[in-house]
Amino acid sequence: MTVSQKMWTKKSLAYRYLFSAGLILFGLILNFFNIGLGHFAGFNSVGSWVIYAGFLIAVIATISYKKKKKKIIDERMEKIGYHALRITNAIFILTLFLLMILDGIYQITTRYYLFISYIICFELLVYFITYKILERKY
Amino acid sequence: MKTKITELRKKLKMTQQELADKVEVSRQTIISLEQGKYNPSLELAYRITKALKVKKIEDVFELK
Repeated sequence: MTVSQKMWTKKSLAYRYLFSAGLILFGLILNFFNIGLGHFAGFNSVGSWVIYAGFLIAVIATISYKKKKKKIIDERMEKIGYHALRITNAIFILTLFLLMILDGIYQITTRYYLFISYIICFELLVYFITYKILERKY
Repeated sequence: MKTKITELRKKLKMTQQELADKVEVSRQTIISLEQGKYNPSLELAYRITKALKVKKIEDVFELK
């Protein structure tokens, strides 16, 4: 494993802006063709939510670039990240399995997009906690 | 793995941050190495040996 230093570059910022623009364009197309109308994640349509997500990504990317913080990612961090990812993956699969059983017993009636967002947040939280625990170990 | 990093570093009057900057790792990695919690790769071990101005890796790192 090699040592690497991660730094915000204009190229990485450009990619993020491109992705953000893509999302905004996609949202506009959805709204133009009246696809996904109806309440979605606090917005009046799916397209509006996608446009909001696009703007949010652009804002976060801009703020992060302005900070210009040099971040070191060395081999120890890579090792910890790798192990944390493996543990998170195992917990994620176990959680989904338990949810399958739970749904069989007591039907989960939460809307799909909300349910998926909860799962994503849960996975990020598990990864964060696992990383912190392994950081102390290594 | 046992290390003599702390001892050799203090001989050169170097801080952990200075050593970390020299070998291009984080200070936390240097702390973990000194505490014997983390075993470095061969490349990192060579870099540390060079930074501490020692000739042999065995003079810095020792198998427990």
